[in-house]
Amino acid sequence: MAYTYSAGSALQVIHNNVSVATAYGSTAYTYVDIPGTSISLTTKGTGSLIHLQCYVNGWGSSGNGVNIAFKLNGVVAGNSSSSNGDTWCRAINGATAGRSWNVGRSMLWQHGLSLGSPATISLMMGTWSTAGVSAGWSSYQTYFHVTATELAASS
Amino acid sequence: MASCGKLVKVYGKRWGNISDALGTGYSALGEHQTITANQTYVDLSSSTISFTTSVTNSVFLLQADLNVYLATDNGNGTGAAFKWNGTRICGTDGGSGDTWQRMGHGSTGNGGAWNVVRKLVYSPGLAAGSSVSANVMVGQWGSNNSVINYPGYSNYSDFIIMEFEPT
Repeated sequence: MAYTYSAGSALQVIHNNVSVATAYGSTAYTYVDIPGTSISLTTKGTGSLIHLQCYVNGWGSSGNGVNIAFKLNGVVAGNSSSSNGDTWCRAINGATAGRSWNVGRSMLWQHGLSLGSPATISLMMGTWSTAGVSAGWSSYQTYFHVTATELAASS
Repeated sequence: MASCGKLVKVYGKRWGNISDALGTGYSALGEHQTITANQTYVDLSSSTISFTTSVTNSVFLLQADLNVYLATDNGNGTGAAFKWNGTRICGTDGGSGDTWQRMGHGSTGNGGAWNVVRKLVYSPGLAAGSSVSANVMVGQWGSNNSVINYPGYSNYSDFIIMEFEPT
């Protein structure tokens, strides 16, 4: 079953540019927090949606794959499973040598929160193995961004 | 070159092998698709969004966040495009086209999984109340198999359309 969404005009935009942040894949098949990427907001509309966007770049020495997920009020929008998870499927899967990567995500979050509720959004990185995959790369300047746009309920 | 006014409406579609809207678990929904055509953009059948325009001469931002796997490791590449009311509005088929240009093109070893992001600003000049049906397309070059939402895993893709007032 596909999920469909509709919403109206923008109520607020929260943006975070992270000039330096590094997260290493520490456990196979598992999403880990990317430090410094958290943003918080208080909902301004009833029945609103939140449009989430991010950009993350990194480097990996193996071809087992990497993914970026949003963490939404503590719930990861991704699947840390060794059998059918998605921690491998956005970049460098299939690579035969080390390479840099970037992932840009864009999705709508139907949060179901009431007016005036807090929402915390951050980024996580998932890897299929722990072999040398990193969001960012130590000793090199980089930046990520995460943006949340709250959209009014569709009229 | 394009300009627009304030955001009016947003429409979105998420499809894939997921058990809930956030993709926290796997479900064999069958919302995956394998593209085998050579140098030809093909409709992604689960990506269609239908809606009615809210204002006259509105401007649209189309965004696709695709989960694509190149099943053959030959490095020929793949790309994405959009179709609007039955007409492809970006992307070119054929030997001088761009079905290879978004990812995976290069030497052997460039197969595997990729995040294909495609965005387009489109000004169709429609009256308010016009019906629209839009979808994402994927093309590839040569003997690759481009698999969208590779089956057996909780992969998913998103298509979002934003309608803005004209300037």
